[in-house]
Amino acid sequence: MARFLLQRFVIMLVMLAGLSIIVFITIELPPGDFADRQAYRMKSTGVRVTEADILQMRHQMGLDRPWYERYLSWIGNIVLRGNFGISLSQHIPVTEVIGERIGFTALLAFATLIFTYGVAIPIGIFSAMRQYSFGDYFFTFLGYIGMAVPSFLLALLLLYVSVFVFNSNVGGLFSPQYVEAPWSWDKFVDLLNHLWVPALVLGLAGTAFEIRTMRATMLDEKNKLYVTAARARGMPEGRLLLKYPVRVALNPIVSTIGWNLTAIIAGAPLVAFVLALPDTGPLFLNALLDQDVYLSGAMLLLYSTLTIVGTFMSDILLALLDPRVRYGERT
Amino acid sequence: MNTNSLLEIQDLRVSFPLDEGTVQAVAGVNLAIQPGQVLGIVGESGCGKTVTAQSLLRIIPPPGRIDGGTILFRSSKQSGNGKDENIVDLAKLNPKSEMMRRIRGNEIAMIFQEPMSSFSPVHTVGSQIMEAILLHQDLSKQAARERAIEYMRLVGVPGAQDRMDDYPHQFSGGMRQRAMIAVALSCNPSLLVADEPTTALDVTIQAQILDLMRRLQQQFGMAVLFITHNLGVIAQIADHVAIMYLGQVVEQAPVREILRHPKHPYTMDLLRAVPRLGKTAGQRLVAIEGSIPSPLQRPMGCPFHPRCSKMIPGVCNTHVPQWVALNEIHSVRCVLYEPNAPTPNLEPANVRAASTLA
Repeated sequence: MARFLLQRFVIMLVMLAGLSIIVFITIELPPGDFADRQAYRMKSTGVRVTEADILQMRHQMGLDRPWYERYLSWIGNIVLRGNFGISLSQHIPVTEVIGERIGFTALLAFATLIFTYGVAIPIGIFSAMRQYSFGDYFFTFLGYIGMAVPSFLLALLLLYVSVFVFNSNVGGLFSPQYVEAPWSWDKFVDLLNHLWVPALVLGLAGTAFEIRTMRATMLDEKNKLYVTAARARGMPEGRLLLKYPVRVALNPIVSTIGWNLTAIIAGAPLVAFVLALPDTGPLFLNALLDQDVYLSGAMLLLYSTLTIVGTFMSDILLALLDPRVRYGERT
Repeated sequence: MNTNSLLEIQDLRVSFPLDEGTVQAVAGVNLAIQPGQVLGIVGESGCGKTVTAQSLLRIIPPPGRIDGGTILFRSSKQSGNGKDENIVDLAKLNPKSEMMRRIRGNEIAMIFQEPMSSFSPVHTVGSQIMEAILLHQDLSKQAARERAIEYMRLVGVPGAQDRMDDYPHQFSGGMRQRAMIAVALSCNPSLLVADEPTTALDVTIQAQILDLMRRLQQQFGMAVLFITHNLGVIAQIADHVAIMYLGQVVEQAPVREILRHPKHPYTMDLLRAVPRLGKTAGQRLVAIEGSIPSPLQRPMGCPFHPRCSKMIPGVCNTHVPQWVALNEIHSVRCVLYEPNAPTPNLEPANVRAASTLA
């Protein structure tokens, strides 16, 4: 087990290193840079900008150095000092800009995962045990709708319904009186009250997918010989179900935590934008539009890190769950 | 119910309603097992051996259902109304009832054909042996663990103590079957159902497992229902044999009697098909003509008549043979031995039907 963990951990570090290069290159890819963007903005307000001014700006911001030099100083600062650079557009450290917001993003992703598995696993088990019943068809229907509707559309729909039908607002993460308030238990409860909406929106597609996976594996497992053998030992049905087929059927579910997290984090910025959440989503979109290299780079790196760490955790969970994974390197 | 029998199956019928039609897997089986007796059930694949065994524990896979008959079991651990013994009709019990669960594993235990898949891959072998003990005996976890180790030793798993916490994929096929036997014996059942326990193993391991089972049967004195398609295996382990064909018992007798004086044409064919050293050198192996008919279309009359070398046109294809006791120990279901057998009904339609089937 220790060897398995170490192996996975080293792989994770290598992935992170490779990823940081890809992130950097991706940010650099679009033609033009922040200096061009700045010059364009100044021109549009009537200021005369010469080629020399642009070059000067570029030099000040260090954008004229070769890409690998910039990459090394960027990643070096991050790893050694936790310094993600200065946001070019807001002129304050990136860490300050992102600050609390990245916490909300992580919280949202985590809440979505909890929602996804908390809903999908019981429904999947139910659907498999009552195959072709009304309930099974009902959840199948709901599941297909969940997979087919894009999350941002669902977010818009929820907003519309909440405002025009229930006369309340599901946007944001806090009620107005708590937005500026210091952290307290009430504020936390208020947060949870708001959090379920984006979690539902973001998690619906994944939930639908996991329901189908859980149902299919349960159907496979529940008639396997080892289940019959345990039944023939006199095991009561309820305990039998949870101890044997459910345990084995969790395997494919757990191994997809990584993918699910990717989908959630990729979908989050759009949903956050629509629902006006105070997380990193809207910030990220603007940073990309502004070609604010350091800000968008930092966020892309954090998002990817969340994904990779999530995958690492799903690997650990899988190894805890299945001895064949744990001892895989020996047999 | 006979005063001595441990188990009596009477006219058991099990069917599987499928989309293509209803499969009559067990079509009126009668069997009796005495305490401490080893009864072998022999037959080709699809003759209803396994389903008969599954009916005892009420673990017939869906959509199978018991249509009729009784399975009377003399239960000694379920003294319900103050009596020491209690006769239970397993066919009438709810498969999910408390009573059924207390019989499973405790009084009737089962070993399956596939040692590879009869253990959960994600639980240790030891925990699955302990499970049966904890379910039926009032023991602490530690005591159950010691009991499990004791049974692992008994079935000949080397290093039982250390192997308790190993997973099934770390066991070989033979070791897994030994562990399965340990599970089955752990609650000291009065009846052990062994459904082709050696079929999936290679021949040397087969011999070891058979040896082990015979030794433990004598040591524990339990009755065994041993299902196989291998007459050689039966000769080694069983006291009595029941030959099954298409969901019915066609002949039953002590094992020596069957081997020396087979009566039913099907039994004779089965015995001819057993390869023998020397006797068949240079000769082709004998096979029974034809194959088992589609379970959806049971032949009229005697189910074996389309493949039978002694088929009497006009009788076998119209008349359902009765169960005939030749003497105290030997019974057979064939028109050749019926004292009041009908004379051939040689209406042209019957003869033609018979010749096209034969």
